[in-house]
This record gives sequence, structure tokens and C-alpha cells, in this order.
Amino acid sequence: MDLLRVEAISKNFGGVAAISNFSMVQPYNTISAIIGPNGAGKTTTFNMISGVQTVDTGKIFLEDVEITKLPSHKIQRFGVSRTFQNIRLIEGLSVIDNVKLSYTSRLTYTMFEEFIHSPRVRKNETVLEDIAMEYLEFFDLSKYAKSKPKSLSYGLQRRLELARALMNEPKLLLLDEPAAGLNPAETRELMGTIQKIQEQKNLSIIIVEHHMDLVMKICSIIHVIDFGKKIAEGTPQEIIKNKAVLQAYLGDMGGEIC
Amino acid sequence: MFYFFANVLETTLMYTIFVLSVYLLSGLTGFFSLGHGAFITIGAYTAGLATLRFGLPIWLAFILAIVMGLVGGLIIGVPTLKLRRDYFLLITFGFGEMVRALLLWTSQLTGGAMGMAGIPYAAELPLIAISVVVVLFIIANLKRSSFGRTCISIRDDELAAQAMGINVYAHKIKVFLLSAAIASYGGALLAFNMTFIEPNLFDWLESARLIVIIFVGGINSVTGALVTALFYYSFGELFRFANVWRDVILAVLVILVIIFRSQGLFGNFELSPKWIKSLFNRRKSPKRGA
Ligand SMILES: Nc1ncnc2c1ncn2[C@@H]1O[C@H](COP(=O)(O)OP(=O)(O)OP(=O)(O)O)[C@@H](O)[C@H]1O
Ligand SMILES: [Mg+2]
Repeated sequence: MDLLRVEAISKNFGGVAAISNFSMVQPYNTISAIIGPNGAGKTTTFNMISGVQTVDTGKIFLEDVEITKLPSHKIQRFGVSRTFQNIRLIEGLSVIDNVKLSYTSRLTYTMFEEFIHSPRVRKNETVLEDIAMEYLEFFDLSKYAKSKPKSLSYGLQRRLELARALMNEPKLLLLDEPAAGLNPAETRELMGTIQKIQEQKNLSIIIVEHHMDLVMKICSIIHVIDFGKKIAEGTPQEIIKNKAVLQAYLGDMGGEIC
Repeated sequence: MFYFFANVLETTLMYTIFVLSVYLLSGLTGFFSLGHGAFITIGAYTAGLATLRFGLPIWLAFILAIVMGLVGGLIIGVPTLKLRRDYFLLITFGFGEMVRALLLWTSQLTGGAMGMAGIPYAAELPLIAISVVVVLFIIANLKRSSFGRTCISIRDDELAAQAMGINVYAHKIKVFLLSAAIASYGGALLAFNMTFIEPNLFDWLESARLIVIIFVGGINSVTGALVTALFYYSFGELFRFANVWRDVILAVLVILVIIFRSQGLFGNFELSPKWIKSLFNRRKSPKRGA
């Protein structure tokens, strides 16, 4: 059994095929990547897997359970977490409350207990605070716990999104361009962090990324899409030599692959 | 004189309950209802009908008012809370007008435009004051745990909230029902306090005012909603002759707040035991701050 199986999914936007017949398999404990030029359909693919957008045709399975038509909150509860290409933190919540948010569905107290802030609520909240703090510490964010996300630098906001995505202990983590907007040093650090997360948490990660060096170093499988179609799949070594890939990239991104 | 002040206080506190009910929906969750007055009217008329026409005891009238508020909330909330917020606003507006029309139309039962007089005077200051405290207590508690965090996440970014495992639609319904229930309870209080009600009890402008008060106080602060409501409504009652001026002041405040303090007068501030303690500590050791 594989963790994730995507079978020929497609999505059209008013006649434009954002992605068509895309299939992939994601095993347990693996880091893989989806790469492709701008507008290739990478984010759309993530949106469909995470239930943020509906699937036009095709099927998606998580541990052999079909999740194709499930809304995103259910998919998250099944253990699929994600980050967003354009960071989407909740501005009205503090840094630590943002992290707590993705644990909401696991809290066991009811609304009626919240009315009176019952001992059970208090206990749950204390435990939650501790767990959230651990995640913040892991990402070196604990000193910003009470600040608002807006006051953080871009790189720190990306890390916060990562902490939030991990908070519900996912089996599968989808990272949409986690290194976008980071400088080379931050990018290198992020690579290390991603690897460390994968090893420590025993989870599987799919990364959408433009930074080829990042992808080549830490991913074991790479899927390449161009104009909504998959053009190659293989190990980094295979992909580097692939003619179709080179062509797609030389077309608009030139040297970045070298 | 005492009666006059007691009366001012009663009215102010009842309107404060309405403001607090709207705080949940508009302040915390970011949904604007121009028909919130309908729930107040529903509560008031349920209370009136239950006691006058059906001879039910007061306590049962209160419960029925809450139940009717919940029913109304379900009827309006279930189909509309999936829609965009602007449609929600329009539909709640329509709902408010509909309830008014319905009351006029069923005049045999409700007295129509003549209203309903002779409702027992059963809501005096102590009951109203306790009600405010209880509502305040519940809302402040909700705000500081998961319920409140979820509301804020929905207000700021529904898509992200849902991707974080939150059933956005279900939570919106919870918020709306709770808000409707509090408003209709407040409506019942109003009926039992004023002893006379009529269909224009609470029109859409009055509903809009509730929202404006929350924005002036600050959407992130229950304290802000409370203080602004107390101030605004007591001013209106104390200086009846200058009633128009309170809206002028409110309007000026709105403009000033929007320009200079978009997070509202109170921002993120909440009055809490901790804050009061820290105030005393500061007094005791003045050098610490320097
Ligand atoms: N909501 C939408 N409505 C209409 N068209 C869309 C929508 N979302 C994406 N598209 C189109 O679908 C195509 C694929 O978009 P997508 O965002 O998946 O690309 P991407 O590979 O993530 O690109 P990038 O590297 O720029 O992030 C693009 O042509 C885009 O314009
Ligand atoms: Mg993208």
C-alpha cells in the first residue's frame, strides 16, 4: 500500500487545462518533488490533493481510501497538511494561536464546556499550549509566540506555516514553494530542516519548488510537469539527463537547472 | 429620579446584550447581518405571545424565545452561510423586513401595527444585570479558547481555516445560532421590561448601529464592544433631548477610528483580572518602568 495514489486527475478553468491526466504515487517516508515552469499546474495539483479545489476527473487515494471528493478539512484530519505558495497565516491570531489552529479538530472539549471555561477546557488548553510551544521551539520561533504573524520577516513566516502544518502530526506534508523569497542561506537551512522533519516525524513530503539545487539534493523522486502535462518522472540523476525536461526548462527558465 | 436612572441603566444593559450577540457574529467571525433585529423582534414577540395569548409562565416564555431564535437562525443560516458575505448581508436584510411584514400581516394574533400592550413587567434591573454578566462571561470564555480562535480564522481566511481542519460551514452555523439565541433572549427581556412591543421595535438601521458600535470598540475586543455600547446607549437615554447628537458623535468616532485607529478604540485590549493585577503592581513599584 502506498501513502498517496493520484490517478489521472484533471482540472480545467474555463477551457484552460490547468492540469490534465496527472498521476503519481507517493510511498511512505519519502521526499519527492513536483517541478515545472510557471503556470505548469503544480499549485492546482496540490489544491486538488488537499481538497482546496475540486477534481474534474480522476481519483485520489490516501492509504487506499478515496479522498477525491472530500472537503479540505476532512483531508487534513486524515493526515494531509499543507503550506501555501503565498503564505496564508491568520493575521488576527498570534503566532502561537496560528499553530494551535491546525490542532482544533483533535480537541475533545465541547462548546458548552467552553461557555464556562471548565477544568477540562483549561487542561486541554494548557496541554495544547505546551505542544504548540514545542513546535515553535523546533522552528526557533518561541520568542515570537505572542506577536502577530505580520510582524515576522518573510522567512520566519514561512517557518511558522511549516510549524502550523506539522502541528496535527500529518502523514503527508505538501509544501508549495517553501523556499520562495528566501535568500540562499535561508534556503540551505530550510533544506536541512525539511530533511530533519522527515526523519524525525517519519512522514512523507511532496515539495513544489523552483530551486533546483534544493530539489536535487533532498528528493528521491521528481515529477516534472509542463503545460498541465506530466513530461517526466524519475530520480534526480535521471531527470537531469532527460531531454524533454531540459527543453521545457530551457524554454523559459534557462540555466536554473544546471 | 432613582427610577429614571434605573430605567436608563436597564435599557442600556439590554442593548448591550444585543451588541454582545452581534459581537460574536460580526466582530469575531466577520459576518454582517442587517437583519439581526429580526431575532430581537422574534424573541420579544414570542415572549409577548406566550404570556399574553397563551398564558404561559415567564420562565417558559424565555425558553420559547430562545428556541424560536434558534429556529429562525436555522432557517436563515443553513441556506445562506455557504454564500459569500455580501449575499449573506442582503439576505439577512430581507429576513428582517420579512419578519416585520409577517407581524403586520398576522395582526389577529400580534396586534399588527398597533403592537402588543400589557405584557407582564417581569424583567427588572437585577435580572437584566445578571443576564449581561452571564452573556459577557460566556462570550469572553468562548473567545479565549478554540471557539474564538476558529471564529477569527474564519473571519481572516476561510480557505486557510478549512485547510487547517476546520469545518468552516458548521462553525459559522454554530456562531450564528448562538448569536441569534442571545439576541432573542435579549428581545424577550426587552418585551418583559417595556411591556409594550410593536413590529418596528428594531429595524435594520438599529441592526446596522450594533455593527458600527462593534467596529468603533474594536473587533478584537469584547471589552471594547461592552464599553462602547454602555457609553453610546446610556448617553442616548440620559440626554434624550440631544438624541441626534449621539449619532453625530458616533459618526465622527467612526470616521476618526477608520482613519487613525483601524483596529478600533480598544484594539486587542481585554479587561482581565491579570491586567488589573498588573496595574496594581505598577503602582507599587513605579521605578521599574523607568
Ligand atoms: N482559479 C483559477 N482560475 C483560472 N485559472 C487558474 C486558476 N488557478 C490556476 N489557473 C491557471 O491554471 C494554470 C496552472 O496554474 P498553477 O497555479 O497550478 O501553476 P503553478 O505551476 O503553480 O505555477 P507557479 O510556478 O507560477 O506557481 C495557469 O495557467 C493558471 O493561470
Ligand atoms: Mg504555484
